[in-house]
Amino acid sequence: MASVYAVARRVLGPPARLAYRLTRAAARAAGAYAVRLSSADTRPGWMNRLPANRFALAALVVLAVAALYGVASFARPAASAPRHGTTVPVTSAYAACPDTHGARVSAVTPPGARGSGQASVAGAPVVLTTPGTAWSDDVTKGAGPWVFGAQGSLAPGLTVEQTTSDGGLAGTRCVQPATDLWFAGPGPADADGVSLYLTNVDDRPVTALVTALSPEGSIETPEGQDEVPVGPHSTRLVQVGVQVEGFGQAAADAKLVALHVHALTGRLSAAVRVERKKGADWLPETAPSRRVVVPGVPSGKGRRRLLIAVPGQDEAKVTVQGMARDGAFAPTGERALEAPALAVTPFDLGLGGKPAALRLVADRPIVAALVAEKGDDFGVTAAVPPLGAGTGTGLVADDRDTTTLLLSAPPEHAAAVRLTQLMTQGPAGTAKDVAVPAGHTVEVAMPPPAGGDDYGLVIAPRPGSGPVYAARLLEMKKKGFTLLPVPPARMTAVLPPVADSPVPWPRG
Amino acid sequence: MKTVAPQLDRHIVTAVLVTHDGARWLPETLKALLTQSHPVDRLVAADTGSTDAGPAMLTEVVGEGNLITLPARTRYADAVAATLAHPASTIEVPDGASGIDRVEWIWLLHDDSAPAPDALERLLTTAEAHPPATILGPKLRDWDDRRVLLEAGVAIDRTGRRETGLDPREFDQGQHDTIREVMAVSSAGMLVRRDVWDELGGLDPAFGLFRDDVDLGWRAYAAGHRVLIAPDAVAFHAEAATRGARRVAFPADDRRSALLVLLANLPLSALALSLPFIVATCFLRAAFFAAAKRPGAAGAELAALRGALFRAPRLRRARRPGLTASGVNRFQPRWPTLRRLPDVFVGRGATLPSPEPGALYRWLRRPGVLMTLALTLVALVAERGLLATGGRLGGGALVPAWGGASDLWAEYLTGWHPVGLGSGTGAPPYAGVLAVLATLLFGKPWLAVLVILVAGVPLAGLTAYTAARRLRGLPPRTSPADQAPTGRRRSSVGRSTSTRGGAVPVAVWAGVTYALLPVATGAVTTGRLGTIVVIVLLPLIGVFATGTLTTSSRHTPWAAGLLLAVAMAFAPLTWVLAVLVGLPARYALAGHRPGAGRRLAVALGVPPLLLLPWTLHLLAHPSGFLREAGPRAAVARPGAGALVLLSPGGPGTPVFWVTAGLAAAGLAALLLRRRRTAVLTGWLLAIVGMPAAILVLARPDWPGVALTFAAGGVVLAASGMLRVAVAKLRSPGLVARAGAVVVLAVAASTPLLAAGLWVVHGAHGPLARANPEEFPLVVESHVTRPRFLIISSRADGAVGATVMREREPIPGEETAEPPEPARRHLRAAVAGLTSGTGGASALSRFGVGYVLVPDPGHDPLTAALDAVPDLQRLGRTSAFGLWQPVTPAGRLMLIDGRTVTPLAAGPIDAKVRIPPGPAGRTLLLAEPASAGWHAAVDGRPARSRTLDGWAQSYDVPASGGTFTLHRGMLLRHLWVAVQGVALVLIVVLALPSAAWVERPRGRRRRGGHARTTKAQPQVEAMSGVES
Repeated sequence: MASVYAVARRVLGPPARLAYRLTRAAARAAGAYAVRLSSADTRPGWMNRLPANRFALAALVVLAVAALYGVASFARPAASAPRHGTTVPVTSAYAACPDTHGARVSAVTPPGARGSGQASVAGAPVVLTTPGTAWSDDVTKGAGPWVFGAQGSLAPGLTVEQTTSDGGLAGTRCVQPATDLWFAGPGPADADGVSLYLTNVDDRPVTALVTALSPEGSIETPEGQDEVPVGPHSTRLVQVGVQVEGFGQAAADAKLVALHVHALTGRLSAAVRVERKKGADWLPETAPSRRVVVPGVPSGKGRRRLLIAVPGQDEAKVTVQGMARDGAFAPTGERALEAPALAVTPFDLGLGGKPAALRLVADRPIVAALVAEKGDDFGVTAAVPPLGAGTGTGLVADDRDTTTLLLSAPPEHAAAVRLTQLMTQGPAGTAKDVAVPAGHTVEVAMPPPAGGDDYGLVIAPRPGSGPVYAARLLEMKKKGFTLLPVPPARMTAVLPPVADSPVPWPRG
Repeated sequence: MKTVAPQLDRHIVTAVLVTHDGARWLPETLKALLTQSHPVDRLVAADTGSTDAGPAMLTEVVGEGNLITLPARTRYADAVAATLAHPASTIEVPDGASGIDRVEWIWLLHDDSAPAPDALERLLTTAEAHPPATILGPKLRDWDDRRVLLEAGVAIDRTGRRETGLDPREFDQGQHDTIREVMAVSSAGMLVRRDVWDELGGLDPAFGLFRDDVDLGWRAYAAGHRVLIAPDAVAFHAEAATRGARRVAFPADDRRSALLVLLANLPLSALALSLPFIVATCFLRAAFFAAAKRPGAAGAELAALRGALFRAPRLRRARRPGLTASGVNRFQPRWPTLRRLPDVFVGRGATLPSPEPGALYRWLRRPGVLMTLALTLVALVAERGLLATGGRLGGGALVPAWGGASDLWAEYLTGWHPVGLGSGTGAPPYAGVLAVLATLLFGKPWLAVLVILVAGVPLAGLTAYTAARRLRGLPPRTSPADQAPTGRRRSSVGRSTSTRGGAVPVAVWAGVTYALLPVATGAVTTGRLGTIVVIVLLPLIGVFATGTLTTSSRHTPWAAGLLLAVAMAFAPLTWVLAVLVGLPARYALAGHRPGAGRRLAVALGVPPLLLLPWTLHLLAHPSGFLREAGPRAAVARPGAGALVLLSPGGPGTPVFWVTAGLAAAGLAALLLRRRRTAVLTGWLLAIVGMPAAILVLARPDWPGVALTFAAGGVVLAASGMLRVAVAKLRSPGLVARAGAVVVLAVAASTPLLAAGLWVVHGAHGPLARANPEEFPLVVESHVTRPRFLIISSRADGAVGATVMREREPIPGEETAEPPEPARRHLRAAVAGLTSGTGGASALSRFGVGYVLVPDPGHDPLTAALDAVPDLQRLGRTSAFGLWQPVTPAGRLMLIDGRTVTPLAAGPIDAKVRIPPGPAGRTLLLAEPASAGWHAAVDGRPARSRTLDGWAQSYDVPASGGTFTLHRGMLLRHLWVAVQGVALVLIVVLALPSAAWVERPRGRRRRGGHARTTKAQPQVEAMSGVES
């Protein structure tokens, strides 16, 4: 103890003494100066004159107050500046493919992510090993749902698709678990079957609340029957219009249906398959909004039927704007569409066989989808958020030599994207830059890279590009076609800013 | 010589005169003695070591060799005994008239007591008429002012107080002239029958100088005798020893003697009742003396008690058979102190009988009282909304004061706050102040908070009024002692002369304006306790600070420092601003006054030193200087104009131009030729306060304290202007009068508008009744103590997160922030939870067993939490939604791989049995890691580790064992103890000095004659007077 003290004294002593002396000297000097100033005899002459002149002093004070006024108006605190969260790459992703029987399952992740990661699927020795590669498999046996799980660097942007050609080409994106999912398309009365697949990827049971809208209005079910429990790690198939959970007879007469799947607890994935006499397709997942864009209206003959579902209690007025190969147009003229509340309403649009995208602006949130008939098949596309420099990259996992990309830019801003093909080994072929003029829709057909007709595609907006809406059209001879709108891949998550305090933040 | 009545002839009187340095009075005493109408038969005299001419004079009278010379240290009782043992006292008196029934008497005289010429005769006449009376005494009047009655019999009450039954300096108009039995008579002029004297054994030397006479009287009654006052006999007494007119050679311990009288004579039953009372009284008196900064007197009081307790047993043994109080207790006044209490108050203010109505009415008519009552009314009406809630308030910057005062004390004393994630930061000192206040208010903290909110405005008015009356013109014209007590205001009668005219109205204006400043009403409405306390204290701090700088009073720096410390405890910015104002003011006001710098250093140094552990915390986190009591709450954004006009904006503040009149008057005051010091000091405050307010607001924080400084300064400056305007009202010039009226009207607009608007709009703000069921913390287990995570979306887009334990936080705990690593990990876990990227399992590492979202219907977090896979919803009401992570959690968790087992734990310490198990298990204590935790397994220290980068954890041996956890708090307790002692010292130093305590009691102060004698140190002002 004593030695510690001695050492401390030896080490700390000299600088402490020096600091003390310096402080003392400074204090003395300051004190002496203050004393000099305090006496009228020794302070500078102007200081003596100043306080003596009361008008000068009053002017000085007024000047000081005015200066404070100026400072105060500049230093005013901003109006509770909103705090932004931090963006981090997602570290975990799931994708549930509802029914892989006889399907081609394709997965792709974008290049760029660092670090290690792993991806796997139950029942297959998959899959992806490094970011920026594609993988696909034709499932011949072992029907049933597949749940992809990806962790680490493989999680950002994980995109999985399944494409079946049974009864008509039908492709869908394997849905990541969420709490609210919307689908719109033909109803049981206009189809051979409408199947709702509910998949729970987690360890605990999930209760789904399924509600439906028909052209006649909301489909009512007996109390409690619209809740569908889904066990852990299982998939539940509900036949809409047949089973009690699928509204039974109440929905059997609906020619169109808009389904809302809401997870009361936990989260789940959902998919809807519609089979008609002529063709089949999966309904793309969408979400209600006031401004929506439905991309991927294919070219060619056939009916183009726009479905607008209004989940709210009030009728919606919707203006429609088209973006086609030759620029923007108004498919309904100056007329605004009127969509009744709590119903899904069809509007047959005469688009003249042009490839297009439709922008709908409504006065209340709407859910929009478009059913395109072409030959003996039909395809469904729905509203998705745009790709863009700020919002993200689009990924298409299942591309063949007959893939056509439909890229649309809104009338306000032109867009430019770079298309990159991904194979099992990574990027292949040459990247292709595509410019989309404002208000136009561009059809892009890419030759498959050497080594196979099976590739993934990255749609990366160029820096400075405006928003771009993308959809993939896949056509196969005799098998029909399928449409897939391309939302931004989920690359990042936004962590909200958190303010912790020992007492709760006062409300109000 | 036979001029007296013949029946008196049978009385043989031996006069006993004892002198000690009494040459000043002796000639008159001797003359009086020798010229008695009934001459004394024998005169024996003793001198106890006089150094003056006294012995020579006596020798002339009694003859060479007859003067008994005793050493200087001889007590009076011993001297009398020695005198009576002298042969001269028993010398045969040649007398033949009535040899059989002759009666021997002893007449005791002091050298400073001169009997009237007929004193002995009248004493003997009385004795003749009242045969049972064996001890008689004359009425004593003052030596110098012979009209003044000193004593007509004396008693002693149950606390040892001398009681004469007379008013101080009562004139003798015959009002006490009845022959009656008394408890005792003074030994100056006491006439005792010799046989009784011998029977009683004379005066007891154990008493020293005083109270031996009372003891003698008591013993006489106990022996069945009677003591009589003979008021027609008069003696004039100088009370030389009591008044210190002569030195006595031994300690004249009056207090000890008084206590000894009681202790020696009370019978056992009465003593058992009285002794605790006597001891308590002594300690109370000692505390009073200590508070009056007379440590010597306090020590003497305790020494007197000690001495009396030591001496009493011996005396009691000697007197055992005769102990009784039955004869004397009829003389003992009951509660004389209480009966005198009105005299203390009335006697000080009103020297002359006043024709005016009663004291209460006069008190109510004081302008300050009226103003305070009016402000109280305004505050009550304006805060009707708060009062209607009828209890605990919360919201805004106010943490609801749950629990009782004991919770606040516990919070202040503890070294570990079981709040949130846990914190070892010491509680803010304002929690201690609040604890004191809550203890005074029946142990109800919410009442303390409500009182601060409601009484803040009237009290601010009162202090500002007091300050305005005291400061008047700087420097003050009052003496330092007069400035001391805050509650004392002198009557303004006679001060309202033409030069000082308007002082009272201007002070009332200053009080009302200051109390209703926008910053005051805004602070009340948003629950800023810190600002309210500073608003109340700032005028007093100003008064004492001015006293510190401009007078050499000893207590004002301590008083200023103490008040500043209280203000700093609530709002530390006060101290910074005080330093910024105090240093220039030291040169402006004090100039080269010696010691001013030292006194200022005391005033400014006391607060940070008194609040010490917390001051270090502040210095380590300087942004804490900008915060004040309570959590950081939303702050309004006042415009630049409002800020310059001293308004902080937000709820409770009126439209900003209300204070325009005040600002105009303040600016106009700059043009005054007079009162420059007050005006410039005021603007110094304003020029320091306003930039500080802008700086604080830019953070943003609540600028209350800075604006209070600025506004107080402007009020000070403007009141100078108003004083001039009031004076000009009487000026002959029409223009001057009109100008004065305009100035007064403009200045008066501010308080009137502020009061009106506040009353009309009321205090509507974020404050509301705190809902005890807001957080359902009752569902939690008190065994494993899982915690609550309360999250909500804030207006600024952030997610607010609070970890709560078994009870809601109380005031002061809002600063119990855990160390930064713990907070960082918690924030990350909450961000992961609410963004869906992380799960709820991370929460259980923080001991979080429940997640709660208030108002789930409007909070988007509800949906986010519903989507978290490993979070189970327990329930949802309109008030809150509650979730539970799947992983169990508690304060103390046994982690074995992926298995987590919560264990039983106390709120701070823990003791739990760990079963044997595999090696490599970890005990996770969900508290920030620190060296203050002491853990042991089966008595052996457990190996400590830091888990997850923040949490305290311990390795668990495979054999298990009893795990004990203890938190060391010795340092905190030491700090608080030192702080308490320092606080008591500073309070004592801050109290007004002894002069103030003694002055109102000094019976000589108001007398017509001035004595220059100093009080004898050993003689207490409160005790009686005896020679």
